[in-house]
Amino acid sequence: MLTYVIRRLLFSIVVLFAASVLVFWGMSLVTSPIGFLRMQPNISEQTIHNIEKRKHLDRPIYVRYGYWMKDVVTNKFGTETINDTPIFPDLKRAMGHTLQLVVVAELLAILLAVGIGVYSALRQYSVFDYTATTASFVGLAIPVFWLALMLQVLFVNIYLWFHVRIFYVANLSAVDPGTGLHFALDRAQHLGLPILVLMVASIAQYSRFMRASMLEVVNADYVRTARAKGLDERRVTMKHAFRNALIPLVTLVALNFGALLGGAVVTETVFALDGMGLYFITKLNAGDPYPVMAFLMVTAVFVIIFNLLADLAYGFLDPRVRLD
Amino acid sequence: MIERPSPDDLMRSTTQDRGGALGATAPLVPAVGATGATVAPDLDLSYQSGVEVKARSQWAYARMRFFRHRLAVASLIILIVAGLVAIFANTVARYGYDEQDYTVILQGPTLSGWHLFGTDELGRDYLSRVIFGLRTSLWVAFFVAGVATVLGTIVGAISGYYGGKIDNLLMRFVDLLLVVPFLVILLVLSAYLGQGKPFRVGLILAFLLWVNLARVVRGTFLSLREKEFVEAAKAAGAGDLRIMFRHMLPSSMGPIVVTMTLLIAAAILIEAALSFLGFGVQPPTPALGKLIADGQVSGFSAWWLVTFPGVVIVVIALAVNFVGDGLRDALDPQQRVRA
Repeated sequence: MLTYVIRRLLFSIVVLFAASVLVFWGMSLVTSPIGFLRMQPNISEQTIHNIEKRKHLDRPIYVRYGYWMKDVVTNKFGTETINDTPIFPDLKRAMGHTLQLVVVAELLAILLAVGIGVYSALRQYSVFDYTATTASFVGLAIPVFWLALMLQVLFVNIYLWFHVRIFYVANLSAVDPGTGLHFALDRAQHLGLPILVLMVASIAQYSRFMRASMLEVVNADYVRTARAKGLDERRVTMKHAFRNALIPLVTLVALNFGALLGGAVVTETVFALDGMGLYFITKLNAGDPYPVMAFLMVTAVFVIIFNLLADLAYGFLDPRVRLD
Repeated sequence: MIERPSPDDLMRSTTQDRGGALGATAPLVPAVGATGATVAPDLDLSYQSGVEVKARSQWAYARMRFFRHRLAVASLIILIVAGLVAIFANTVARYGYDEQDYTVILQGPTLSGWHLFGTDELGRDYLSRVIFGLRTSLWVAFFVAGVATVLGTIVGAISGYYGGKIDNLLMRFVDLLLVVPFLVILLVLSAYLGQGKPFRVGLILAFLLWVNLARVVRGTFLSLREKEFVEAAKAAGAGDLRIMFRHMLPSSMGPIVVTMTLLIAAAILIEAALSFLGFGVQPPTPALGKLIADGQVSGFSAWWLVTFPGVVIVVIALAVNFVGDGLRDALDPQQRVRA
């Protein structure tokens, strides 16, 4: 087990290295910091020259990669091109906000989706099953940004007509959040809609998956054996079937979670929520490659970590998977 | 216990209805032939019952199964209508997408002047704009699906057929692409390369979406490679290309078609998201996602600006998904169990 973990960890580091090369090389292919500088108004040739020297932009690509890597590792992703502002503080703040959003949304989504999926599978072809299936089809066909906008329109109009504020529709930090209970209420009001939007897509996906995996398990031989032994239905479904049906979901959730931590790009943009996704879009619009590369690396780290966790959890939960 | 579909099962009809979750029923039909060949005319199948048995090709059975899936057929009709509207947008739309009329600015849906979807803040007829937007979005989606399918099939076929080093290299590349979330790569690429013409947006989308298809084709080819009919073709002296595209490809048509439909749905939604974020199709060309983004500005009071293009996207995406579902039932019935 331990050797497997270590080997898997080493492999992750190799993947991370490959990803960093790909990110840097890919970005140099489509853009360059110099090009970005030249597009700025009111910037003198001297300044460009200075920045070029400071960022080693006049060196060949592998040397530049080396300097960038050094910045990433020792200096927390280094600085932006023009003003030399450090990248990490902004990224860190954004990460915190995304974390709040994604953790709550995913936890709620998993709970609901598992319930829906299991119930659908146990009552296959029932009215509930058909409704849930149709709903998840619709859930997957609704563009995330549109759902978000429609919710905004709805709650803005509720506010305009009844003068009751149920949810804020944008801007996480526009008003002073206060402390204690006020803080909790403020967060709930601000994050309510984004969480709802994220949940819809996740529930649609997870519940379908859970239904399929539960169906597979319910028809398995060992479940029939459990019934034949005379166990009551509750024990059969809960202890024998359900636990095993959960295993495949773990992988899906872990992968999704890793990707979402890199920012629910669309949701955060619509709700002007100062998270990783909005950070990414803002920097992408600004055109400076360095913060964009920092974002890409952070995302890659998240995905790789959660890939690793998914693999380990799989081996831990499913004794048939041998780790060695 | 669930049967995993073995490759020659993929094209064979199933005798069990396993999971018609949306009212689909797979008909009871006998399995004819694994490779979709028609029963040879001189083979008399009617001796058992005395009734004449009509020989049907695998595709005829598939068609039969598809047309029993009511929702899929209805969706197909919707798609065809949408396609026709898009193709004949110039005739169908009463106004041009950039035609302005300052007397009717931000008017709600009304019958006067046939502004059924209302007008926007420049007095442009919104129904016409949605129709032209639909044209762009559908064009991009089908372009993406076409390019990605051809590319994915070729790469997947080569990778699955030859295996070994080529296969390894391809799969590692795919793994690496998955390290950064899909939408993120797409946004970076379109921010620096795309932006503008639907053609470029489509090309970038196709460049990333072929991966899914390559995986599917690779999977089926890997298992088909070991089949007797491939061995027979080899023994008869057929070349690699001939075996791949004349013998193995028809047998993998089912999964390919199904994946392609899903690709179309994905392409529509992704293109909409890209255009919405401002990295997709650029004005003056209207695209559904862009329409929603523009409508956002005055959308809180003028609800129709945000609502209608979104509804159109949802309907189209749903229809494509249902058609895909029906096709899966028809072409790849065993897959149903796992879906």
